[in-house]
Amino acid sequence: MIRSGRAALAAIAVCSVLGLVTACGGPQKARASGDGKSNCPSSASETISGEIKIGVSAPLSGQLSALGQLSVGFKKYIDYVNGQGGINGRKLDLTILDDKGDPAQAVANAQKLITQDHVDTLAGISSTPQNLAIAPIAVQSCMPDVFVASGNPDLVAGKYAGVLPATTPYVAEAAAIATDILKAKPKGATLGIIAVQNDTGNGDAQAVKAKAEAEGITVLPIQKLDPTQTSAPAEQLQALAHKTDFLQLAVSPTQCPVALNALAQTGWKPTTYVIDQCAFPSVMKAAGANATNVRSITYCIDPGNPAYATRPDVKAYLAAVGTGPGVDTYGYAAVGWVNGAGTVAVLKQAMASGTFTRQSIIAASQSLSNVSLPLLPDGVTATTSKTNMNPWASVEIVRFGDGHWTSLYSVPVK
Amino acid sequence: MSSAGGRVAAARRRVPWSLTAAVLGLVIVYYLPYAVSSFQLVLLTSAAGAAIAIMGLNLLVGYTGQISVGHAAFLGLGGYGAGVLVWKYHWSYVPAIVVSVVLAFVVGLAVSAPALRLRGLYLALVTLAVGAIFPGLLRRFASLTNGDNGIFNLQWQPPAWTGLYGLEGQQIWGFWISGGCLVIAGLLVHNLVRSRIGRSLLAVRDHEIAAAASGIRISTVKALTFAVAGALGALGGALMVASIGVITPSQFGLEQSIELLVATVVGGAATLRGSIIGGAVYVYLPYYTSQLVSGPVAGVVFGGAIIVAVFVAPDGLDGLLVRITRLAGRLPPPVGRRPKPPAVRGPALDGREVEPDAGRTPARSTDTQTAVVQS
Amino acid sequence: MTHFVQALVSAISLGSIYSLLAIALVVVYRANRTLNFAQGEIGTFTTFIAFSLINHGWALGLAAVASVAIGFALCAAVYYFLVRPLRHRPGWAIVLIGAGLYLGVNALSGTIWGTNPHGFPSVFPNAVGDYFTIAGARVYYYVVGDLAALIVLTCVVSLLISKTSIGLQMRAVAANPQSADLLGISTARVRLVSWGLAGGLGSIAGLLTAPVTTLSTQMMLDVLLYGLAAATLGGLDSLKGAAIGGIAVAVTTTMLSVYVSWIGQELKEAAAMALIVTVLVVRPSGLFGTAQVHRV
Repeated sequence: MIRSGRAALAAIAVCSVLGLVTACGGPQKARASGDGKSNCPSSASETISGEIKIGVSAPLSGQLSALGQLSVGFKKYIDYVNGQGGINGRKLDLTILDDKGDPAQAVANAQKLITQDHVDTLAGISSTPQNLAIAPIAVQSCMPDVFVASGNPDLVAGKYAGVLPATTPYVAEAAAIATDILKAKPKGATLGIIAVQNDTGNGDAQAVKAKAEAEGITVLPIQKLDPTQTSAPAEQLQALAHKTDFLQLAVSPTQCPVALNALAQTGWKPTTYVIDQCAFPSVMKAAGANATNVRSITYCIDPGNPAYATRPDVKAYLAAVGTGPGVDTYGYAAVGWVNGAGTVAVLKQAMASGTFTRQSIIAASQSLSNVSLPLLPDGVTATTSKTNMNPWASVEIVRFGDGHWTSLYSVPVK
Repeated sequence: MSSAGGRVAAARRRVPWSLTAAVLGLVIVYYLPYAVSSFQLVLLTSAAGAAIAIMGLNLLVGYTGQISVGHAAFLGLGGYGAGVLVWKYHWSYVPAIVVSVVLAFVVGLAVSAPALRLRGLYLALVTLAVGAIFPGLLRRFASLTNGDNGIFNLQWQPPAWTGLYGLEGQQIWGFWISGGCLVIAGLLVHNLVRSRIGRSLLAVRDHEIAAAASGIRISTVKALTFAVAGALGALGGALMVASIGVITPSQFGLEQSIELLVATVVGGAATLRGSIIGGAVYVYLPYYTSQLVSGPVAGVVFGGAIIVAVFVAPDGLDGLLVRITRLAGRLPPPVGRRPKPPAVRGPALDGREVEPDAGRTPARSTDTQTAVVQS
Repeated sequence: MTHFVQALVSAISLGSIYSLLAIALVVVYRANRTLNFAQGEIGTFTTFIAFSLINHGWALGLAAVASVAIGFALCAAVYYFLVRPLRHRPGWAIVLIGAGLYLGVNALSGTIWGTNPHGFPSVFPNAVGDYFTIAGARVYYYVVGDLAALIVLTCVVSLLISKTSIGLQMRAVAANPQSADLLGISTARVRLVSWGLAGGLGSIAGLLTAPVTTLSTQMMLDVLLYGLAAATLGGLDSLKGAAIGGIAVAVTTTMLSVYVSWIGQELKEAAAMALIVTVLVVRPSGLFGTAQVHRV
């Protein structure tokens, strides 16, 4: 072992010498990329000229790839805008990277988009873990990160400057469900919850439980579901069957139809709510007849609902996106379209402010005011502020039937 | 015995060379950030961490012949061990990594217990099972690990005395640490493999019975190998987490264990160069396949690439490299390469891992399935 | 009591499918002393093919038969082109092929049919009203159907092994491939048939899983792990063991997760893995397998 001992000593000696050398800043000084001591790199205050670069990290493959459709809809919107000449004549350059649903890969993608592709804004990133992983990096580089798909309360509260979460916040969903339950049964209502054990499922379930109990609804202990389980949640349903009038399924999109099928087989018929990431016809179709009368909470309309067929924004969407294979037209692609539109709206507002830099995009994201976006319910617009980055002032209670979602009524988001 | 003596002499001659190579390696690690873009640095950092973990797996699989399909659990032990200490208990990274590596060493010793009696496919199954339990345990103890929500913001920020700052500074620092650890770990493993211990590993791999008959304590060798493999895996995992800053239980499951095994073998089993190539394969193959094609098709290309590699490069990419350079007459065969068995009557068997299926006549058996389990 | 019976029923329903996959794994093991880790994914792939055929107007029965035949052909082809050429290579070469197929076939299914879940019709009646009651618990007809399918297929495969000429050859190859070869048995043909048979069984497992869990690329991921546990518990070379092992594993893990709150739902799969470890440590040959004898 003398040999490795000598080696180790030599290595340590070399490391110490090098360590002294690094005190002079080394390679980073050579790059001269920052302005030394301030928080934002200088690139955040440089005027953006020419094409506007947008970076997206999405789960294009892997277990969450159904959510990757969001990036498909997003891209279609950007192509649509470019087809109309871009924003004030400036084209948009979109880069979409695959993060396979893995937050570590999402971080690597964000780093690439920021330091190598030099995008002007990040956008459309799916799912809470990926967003929580990317948010600090975006803030560290003063990079806007707008219209991302997460309902996490820290993002909603504006904890990360420049991050705009565009999904229904968990507390809003909770309030809406509580309102709907009390409407049907003002006194003595009971609720059971099955929650998939990840941030989305847990976050949602905890919020619903807290709000429901505050409103006098009895909530049974939350039934946990393993994220990797593909078989029916038989035990969880057994634990709740015939004990509550209402049931919330806060599970992942692939688990929703399985759960609905299994629910039907128990013979128990509670009023059922599914979490918003399940609320897509393409997901509900797999449950067939067992999806009828299921309710959910959404902020955008279902473009497949015949009642909206004559709306110009729905027509434009369907014309641009089509219904070919590989496009989830009546599912996540619609959400991507809305998020794309939101991103473009933020960019437009930043441009109109006089200075067009990453800092001004961040400022614009924090000050949207009654901005109209496609595929939203009538009268709903986007408004943000530094302490409330969720753009939606109200959400819709929707019910599934005949292959599409119908809006029953709106619930304001406080 | 003269060949062994010659090899020992050669080994002693090689030590100064390996030391020089290590110093050179450290210098390269220091100056590389000048030459390479930030994002390539991130990939190289991950590849360095993976290479360390694969060095550990290689010790187990390549040098000692023990199949392990659960190595990702050790990476998870290192990643979560260090991550939880840093996030929940506010330790700084150096002690956190040391503790998690020691923990993994101990766990490796424990895991080796079932491995001592099992071989081949049975060993693969038991390691697969142990590896598959790990994410479940991470989720179960969510109060400690934050469960499926994962832990974020764990990047090892460069200390003030380095003068590095911001995202780029953190990337450079991450690369220095991982690259430096890779060089040092490589040096230690290199020396280990060429020592008496290393030779006993090879003996256990090639003929366990004869090794036992020669006085090698099989159970000690196997236990220590699992432990060292576990420790290296934990170090690699902790470094990858320190660089990317995010951990979730699903990063350390069966799929990752399979990918690590694939990378080890495709890189080149039983060689140090092979481990480094393996680390590069682990990071760059999925990256380039998803650059080439987007969406699920990338997985098809990746799976296809593995199958092609098995056919085209039986000794891994390192073996391919060696064969090419040996055609040019430059390199001697590396230490870990299995010896070709002596020629027998009849057609020579394809020289590779003929499992010592004692009692069987080495006659013409054109369709004999080489047993994974010695039967 | 109702709760117990209901849990038992759901366990049997899952266990029948685990058993089918375990039998497929064991058939391959008997032929080659190796495991086909991609068995589940190939089953998913053929079930997707059945799904496409049904969407093109084929009747369910015909589409099912076609998918089983394709499963047979596909696995036989995998053996002939990917496994047989590597027979002189170390064991891990085949494990790697299995890994490559596992990842590649899963991705291929996702590429062709997308990753959303789809409804799939059941071979057995499974409408909301198709059940009978035992002790207050609902027993759907398809549960009985799955169990019956398992029993029938186990019998068919055992009869094949014990009464036919090819079955005799399969037994010979399973006992001692070298001797079988010396006796003039074409081990290549036997292995081809074995892998094909395993492929067919895997396809059937897929067809039975899809109506319950909905058809998706993730459908068979955990079925494979439970199937491995079942095969290990029963003994890797025992067909009878595999058939019983699946039900045993399903019942054990279900009951553990329902009645042992420390395990709960989160550690259900981990419990199955712990079962593998326990069996391999205590009695590697499983309940019904033959013990491995090492000659020094």
